[in-house]
Amino acid sequence: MAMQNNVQESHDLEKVAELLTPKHPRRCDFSFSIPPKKRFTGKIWTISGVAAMFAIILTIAIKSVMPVSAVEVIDSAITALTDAESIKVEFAWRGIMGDSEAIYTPDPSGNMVDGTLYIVRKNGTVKTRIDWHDAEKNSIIFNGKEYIHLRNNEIIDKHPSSFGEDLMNLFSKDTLPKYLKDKSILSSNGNIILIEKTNKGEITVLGEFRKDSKRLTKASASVSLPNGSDLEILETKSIETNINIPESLFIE
Amino acid sequence: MAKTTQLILEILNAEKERLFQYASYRLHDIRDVEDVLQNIYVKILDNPQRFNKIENKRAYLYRTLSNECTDYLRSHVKTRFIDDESFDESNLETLQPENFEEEFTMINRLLAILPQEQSDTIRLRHHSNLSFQEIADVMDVPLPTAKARYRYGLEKIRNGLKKMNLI
Repeated sequence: MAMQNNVQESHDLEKVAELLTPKHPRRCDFSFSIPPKKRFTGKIWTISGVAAMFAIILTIAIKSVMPVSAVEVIDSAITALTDAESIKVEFAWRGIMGDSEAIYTPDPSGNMVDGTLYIVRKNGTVKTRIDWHDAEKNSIIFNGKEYIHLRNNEIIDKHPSSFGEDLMNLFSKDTLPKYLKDKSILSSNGNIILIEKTNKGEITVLGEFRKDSKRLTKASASVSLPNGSDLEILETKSIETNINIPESLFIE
Repeated sequence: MAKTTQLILEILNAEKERLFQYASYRLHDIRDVEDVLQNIYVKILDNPQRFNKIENKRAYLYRTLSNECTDYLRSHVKTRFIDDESFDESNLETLQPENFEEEFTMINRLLAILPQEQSDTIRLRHHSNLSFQEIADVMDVPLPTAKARYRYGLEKIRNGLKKMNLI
């Protein structure tokens, strides 16, 4: 009897070992390059994800050297975003398709991909959805407890996730990355206020505010390439707040 | 190219596939995997003389990789596998994965119930194909300890699966 139990136990452990042994490993196309490739290592890249990039762009710092009127406009615009119960942003994003949850991750070597970002905050829960306007009609949802990947409205992947909470922390005015406060250039032309901030000469973010509505109307980001040219990596086409976004978009 | 750099590159390339698979099943996102591997390379190149003085360079590589992955997950995690003591149907959807995504989810769900040292032992054994002696060197423990961690880890997972009648 004891011998039978030992055999069974051995058999069970072999089954477990079998489960833990990869049968679908990734192909390794990676190579250690010489010299090591220059990587964009600022927080804007390592956080990854479209929503994280938006959070940084949409919370541009205000320096005390700026005119009071500009401070008031920008402060009001950022408050509107951080207090909004719903946000919808149409954008274009330079990225490549990969295995990340965002589907398209920022990369200067990629093509511009159009997308729509939805954020809804209600009863302490943040829900996010991105519809990529690509051939496969990829969409990703964070509904407060799960990450869901859809392709042409069919669920491809679903697992627990708390990404939405991290996103809204980034939208807070208190969490501006320190390096974004290095430099800012302000220009004011009629109804438009422009803020430009550069991170160590690598990434430049531009915010366009309207004085009359005290709202952020456009945001963009570009990177400086080794050859000295600039490459646009993000551009918003429209930014709307407190609009009706149906719950059905976030699938429970 | 300097001889030292060339030697470092040879060692790294010899282990490249195993380091890659280990990092893949820990981090999931291929860009994070490549970042972590490249970071290790950069760290070694920052002080090649120090790396040359290390007796067991292979063990050092895996130890560094394990620590880098842990640090990366701590600061970048988007998805957490709940560290509870058991499985249930809502978090263990399939034991017959059909692709890397499903396999990654299953393996990490199974390993999430284990203490770090047991799950790491299993990863080094099954994802990097290290021998128990090599694992003992990486983790700086005696050989019997490495074997015991492996066995206890498998037993705990087996007990969890038995409770659910999945094994």
